[in-house]
Amino acid sequence: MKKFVTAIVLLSVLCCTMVFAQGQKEAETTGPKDVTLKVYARAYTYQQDDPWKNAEKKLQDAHPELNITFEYEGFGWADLRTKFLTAAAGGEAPDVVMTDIIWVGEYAEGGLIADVTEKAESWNEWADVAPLYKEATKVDGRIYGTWLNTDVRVMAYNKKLFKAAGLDPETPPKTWSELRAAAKQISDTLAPASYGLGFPATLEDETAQTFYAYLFSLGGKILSDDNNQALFNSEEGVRALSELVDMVQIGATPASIVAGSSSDINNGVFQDKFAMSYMTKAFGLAKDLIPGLTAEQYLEEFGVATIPYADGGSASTMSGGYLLCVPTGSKNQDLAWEFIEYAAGAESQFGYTAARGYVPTFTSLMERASDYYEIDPYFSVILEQLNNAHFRPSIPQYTEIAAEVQNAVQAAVMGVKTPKQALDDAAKVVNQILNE
Amino acid sequence: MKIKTKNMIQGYIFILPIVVLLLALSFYPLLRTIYLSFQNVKLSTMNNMKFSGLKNYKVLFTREEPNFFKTILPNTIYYVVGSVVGQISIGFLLAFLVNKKSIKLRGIFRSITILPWVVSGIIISISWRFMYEPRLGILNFLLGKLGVENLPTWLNDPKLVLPCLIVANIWHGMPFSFIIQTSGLQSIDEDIYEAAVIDGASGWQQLRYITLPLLKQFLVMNLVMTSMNTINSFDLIYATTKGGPLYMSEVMAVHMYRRAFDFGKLGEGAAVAVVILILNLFLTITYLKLNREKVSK
Amino acid sequence: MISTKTSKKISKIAIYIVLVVFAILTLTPLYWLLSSTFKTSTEAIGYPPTLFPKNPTLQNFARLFDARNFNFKSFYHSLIVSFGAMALSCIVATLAGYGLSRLKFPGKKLIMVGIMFFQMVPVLALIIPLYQIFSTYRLYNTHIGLILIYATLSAPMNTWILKGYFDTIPDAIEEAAMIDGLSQPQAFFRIALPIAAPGLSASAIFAFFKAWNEYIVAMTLTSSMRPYTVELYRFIGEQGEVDWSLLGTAAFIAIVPIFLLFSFAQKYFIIGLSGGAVKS
Repeated sequence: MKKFVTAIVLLSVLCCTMVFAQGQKEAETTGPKDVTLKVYARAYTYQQDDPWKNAEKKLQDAHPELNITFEYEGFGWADLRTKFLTAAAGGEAPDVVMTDIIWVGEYAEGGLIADVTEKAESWNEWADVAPLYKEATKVDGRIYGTWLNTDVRVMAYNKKLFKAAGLDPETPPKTWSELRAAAKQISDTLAPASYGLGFPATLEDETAQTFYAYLFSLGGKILSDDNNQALFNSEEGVRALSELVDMVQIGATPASIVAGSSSDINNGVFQDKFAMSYMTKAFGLAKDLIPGLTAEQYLEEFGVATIPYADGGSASTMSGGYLLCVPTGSKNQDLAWEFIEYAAGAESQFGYTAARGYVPTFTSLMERASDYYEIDPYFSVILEQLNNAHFRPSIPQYTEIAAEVQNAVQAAVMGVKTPKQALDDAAKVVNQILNE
Repeated sequence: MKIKTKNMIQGYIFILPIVVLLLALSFYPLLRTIYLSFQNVKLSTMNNMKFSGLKNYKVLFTREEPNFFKTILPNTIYYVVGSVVGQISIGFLLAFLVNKKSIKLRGIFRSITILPWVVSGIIISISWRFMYEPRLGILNFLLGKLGVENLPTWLNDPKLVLPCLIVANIWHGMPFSFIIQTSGLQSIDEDIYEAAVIDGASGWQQLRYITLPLLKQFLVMNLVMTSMNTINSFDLIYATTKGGPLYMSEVMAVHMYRRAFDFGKLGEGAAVAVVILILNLFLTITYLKLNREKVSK
Repeated sequence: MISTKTSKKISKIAIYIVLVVFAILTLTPLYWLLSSTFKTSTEAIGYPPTLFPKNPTLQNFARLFDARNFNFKSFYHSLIVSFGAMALSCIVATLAGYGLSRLKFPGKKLIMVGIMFFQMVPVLALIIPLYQIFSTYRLYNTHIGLILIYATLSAPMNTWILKGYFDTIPDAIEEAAMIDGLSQPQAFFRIALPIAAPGLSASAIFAFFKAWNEYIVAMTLTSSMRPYTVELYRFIGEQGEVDWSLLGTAAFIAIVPIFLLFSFAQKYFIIGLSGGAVKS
């Protein structure tokens, strides 16, 4: 019996030792000249040489006195934020974090990312950043990072379906009334195999983005300028949402858009299911879906245009994208920022955006639309949209606000609430959130 | 009796490992979470907590959309009851059938039945979501080929979304019940059945008077475990519908995840967690009561 | 009147039909996922969805092997962590189950309820404090860390299962064995454990799969040592778009070995060790 008891005690001791043994190993110190930079980014950024590989070389070359090791972690979209917040709270922040523009407010408010205003303004490439995008990096007037890439929404349309419905494939609708007529005609002729317009009414931000684009084209606003009040339930907002709801009611858009994902809807344009939809990447998507698609074929079969705007309103679209920021918990902030300068500099950004079909933020790159031709034959149209681009409010409460807006759109599209009711209910909650 | 009166120390040593694990990795974090539920704290500003008393609980119970009593709680109960009944009955049925001595290839059937467990929850969710997709998914595609008009929109339909999720959850969780019931069935001595057959008992009578009573403790354990697992799990629903459409699939665990992580309101999420815990406690007490009744029989 | 023999045959066939139907229902959702393994990526997200790959291809395996697409070491991490958790959970639960079943000591009832209580805690609620604990004790991003937490998650239930089994063994049997000259540990290993074997195998399976399938703890508490569940997430894009062909392939690689492992192992677990001891 004693043997048994001893055995158990020994086992427990062994377990405890193992726990601490593991700990000891990791406490070994590293040499004075060794530096490790940890990077948190979207997993797909590691699939090509830009932005990281080339920047690594440049940084190492600029610092022969250091031996820099780069550690990368790749994430899906939601995890990139969750993991960063958890790590920062646990005291293990990385040195560089890729930040979706809508998270910047949250990170800045929590003091999780460093104010890099001086660093950015003394960077020789900062002047090249388009003014609208410079502003977007600021929270309360202070700069918190620089752009890795942006994106902008355009309308992609299927010329085949236009022709099949008897419409001219070279003149896509520009205004809402033109859109209504075109989409209805297409649906009337071709449904249920194909519909005129597809847009998401799911619980994703793309749903809200569609609504915002319509809202801005009427001159409406999401929030008041001091971010204290919801303005999306204004008359303009109600009109914008009603326009979307009507598309479903007149049959131009199927009612099934409330579930699934926006990417399936976007795919639909290239699968002859929707004649029109709003998306960020068009050619790249088309190539994924249609094997062997050439640029010439693409130009023939599909088109890209500005998102239709309200009659009497102005063209508007929404812009998103990612910044590269330095967490305040990083022990190598200066070195990290230098790395960011290389990774998010114009040369790197060109390589990255060209490889993946994203939109650059440097004026010098925007003037090189022809270099992007292979990436997307309609790139000049995409770049034009930057003039009409709006941003979502970069405040910490954005995710909560977005959830209310998404719900309002869903409720209105499903006919459970009228657009006015849906938006008013959402605004009520949002005002509560904003004034907590 | 010699065995039962061994000294206390031995007893404590036997339970020492589990107690240590639970104290360190379950109890202490739980205390922190309960503490957090009384704070006004956000995920992004964890160093900046402000005591807020019962505010998080008040917010939880008085929120209008989704309303706890009108939406979240009924959804949770519906989802749990549906999943549990489905998983246990199917798990038991399969365990019973496969366990019969007369079945060949039982190894293969057992292996197939385990399969839904071999894949992680997130993958399951995405697979099912795609299958249910009204325009692109295989389900409506096949139904369309069979000539069905007016194809249902499954996950888009507020009335159908929970049943669809329950089906997916039954599929995913059934192996658990299968395994428990299989080991329960295997613990029943063959001799009892032989004696019953000699006495002239039919198959149904054997099932009713021998199998089920002897399995009762396993069934009850299965019931409680599956209920708690279902209440605590969020990834199937979250990855499929995120709680929509219109909050019709928002169960308590999904609500907790959304408040704590999507919106960063850690204090509110912690409050939901505590409520979930209380619900589970209620279930456990019920289980203990059921078990006590069984023993006294 | 149908003879007993015929009615037995009919019920046998009926049972087979039921089992086959369930097997098909069980396999179908997985079939869709796994069929994408052999489709080109275009076909995988294409419309209309195809049941059989039009041009079956093995190129997805090659694509997956490109390290930039997927880190195969994650399977290794998953296996180590899952087996480790299984071993630890079973040892801990067997000890606790046996102790709670056989031995009397003060506070036993309270401890029993306490242990059960912890099975009720949603692990999601513990993530943030756990992260801080792991960070302080350098358990972050280690195999041991995950093994400990996964074992903790499955140990309470396994304790209850095993206690239930031990409860069914009358003291008399072990005492008789000890009178016959066996020491208590021997009585435990040769008499009690075999009877509890179905429970032990069930516990092992639960503990293994709880660790194998787990996502959120793995994602939060590891960086370079990520299990495969976290690694799979890279195929899910920004707007919910899924690269089915790669996802299916990775899932295929995850499922097939485990499935084969289980097929072989279950012969020894469920069938081999069960029953028997009570008779003798």
